[in-house]
Amino acid sequence: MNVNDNRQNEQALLLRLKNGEHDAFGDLYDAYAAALFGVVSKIVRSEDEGQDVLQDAFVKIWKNIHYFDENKGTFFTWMLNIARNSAIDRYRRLKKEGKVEIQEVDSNVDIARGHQTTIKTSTIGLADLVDKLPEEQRLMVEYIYFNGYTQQEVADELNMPLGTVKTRVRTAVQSLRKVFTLLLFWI
Amino acid sequence: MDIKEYISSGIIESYVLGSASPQERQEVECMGHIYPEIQLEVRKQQLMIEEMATKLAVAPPPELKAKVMDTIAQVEQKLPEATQPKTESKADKVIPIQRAEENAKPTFNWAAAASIILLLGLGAYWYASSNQITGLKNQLAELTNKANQTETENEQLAAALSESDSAYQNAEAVNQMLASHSTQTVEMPGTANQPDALVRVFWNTDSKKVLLKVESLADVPAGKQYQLWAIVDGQPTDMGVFDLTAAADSVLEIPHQVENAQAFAITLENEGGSPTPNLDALVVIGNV
Repeated sequence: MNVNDNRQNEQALLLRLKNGEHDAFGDLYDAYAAALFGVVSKIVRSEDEGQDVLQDAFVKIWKNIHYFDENKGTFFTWMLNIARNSAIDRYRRLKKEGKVEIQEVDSNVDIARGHQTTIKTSTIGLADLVDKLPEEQRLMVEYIYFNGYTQQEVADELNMPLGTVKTRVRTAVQSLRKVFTLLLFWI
Repeated sequence: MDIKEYISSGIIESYVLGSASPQERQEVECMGHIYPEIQLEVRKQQLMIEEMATKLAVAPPPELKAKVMDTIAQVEQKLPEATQPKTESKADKVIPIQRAEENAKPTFNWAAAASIILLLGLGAYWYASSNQITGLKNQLAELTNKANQTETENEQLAAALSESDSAYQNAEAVNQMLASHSTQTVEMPGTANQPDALVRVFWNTDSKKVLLKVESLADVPAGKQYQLWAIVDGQPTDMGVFDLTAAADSVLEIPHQVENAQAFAITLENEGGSPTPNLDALVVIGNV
């Protein structure tokens, strides 16, 4: 399916969703639940909590469908933001309530150390980031995207100048581009 | 505006990764709205994050779908705001003025006691144009004292009358424009230069007129002035410098008109303004 087909499908699905069609939402779930669940589980470091958060996120998506602004980005990005924000909020609350052990900011380390054996993250998925992105850049993505740190907080945490963080963030996103362009090429 | 410079500044990466502040998010969205190249770059980077998420995908337990669908069935979608609320808020802007009129009467009875009947009639008109009244009221209090004297002083009084009359006309015109359906309100929140700033532009798409109201803007340093710009076809158009106090006290009429504005912005320039905006000194910006 080429890009234009995808776009048309997305438009059609959106129309049905805005029309309040429940089976359209079923299709949405089938298409995107896994991607959202992967992100959400990684952030809250638990598949059980992840399920809860995913449910919350889908409710928010359904509820606020009319507020999706296509000028700001795609529907998928919009859903990802909702899911990510819900997950970060949940993780912070769990930490406050003492319901999570002190975790590494880098959840890949947690998994490697066996803290969360319930996450059945596809090994291919993890390897993409871990192998293909230089460590210092991957950490930026972990801290910021998956842990909700601001750039200043990263600078403080890792004891480095804010300027360095900014540069690494920029390089990290540009590197992601190379990683995925290469992968697309392989396919 | 150097688009390449903006793109290589790293603010877009920060935006897509989620580390941008609310002001920075607003700024990137605004810039994307104005400049297609920036919009494209944002999209490309967002796509990378989407790819990352897709690669990290984990299938949730099959039972979860039914749970989610059940919950959805009990939840109402929030419907978008109709245009009605906008009209109501413009009406709200009119109401305080009318209330002020009622409060004004006791004060005006005080002034009327010392002057001619004309002042009684004017009182209602004056309070209808809010802060312009204070200056005019003082003027008239002075004039009423002299009114007992010579004819030249009566002439002065007549002049003040027509001034406040036209002030009332202006205020009426402003109120009418604010309440009009073809007037758009453009909110311009602060950039990183002034995160707490907030200024509103009211732009009438029929008459092309522009009104400005400063809600919160820092004082101007010596030798500087705030300058308003309208973004048309991706290019900033000079809407002139304005007096901060005048625009903060009440709704200020901008003596320039604009046809197809996509956005409005304010920069801090040297006194007298500048032919092109200094984007490093951008203080507020907002999309139409």
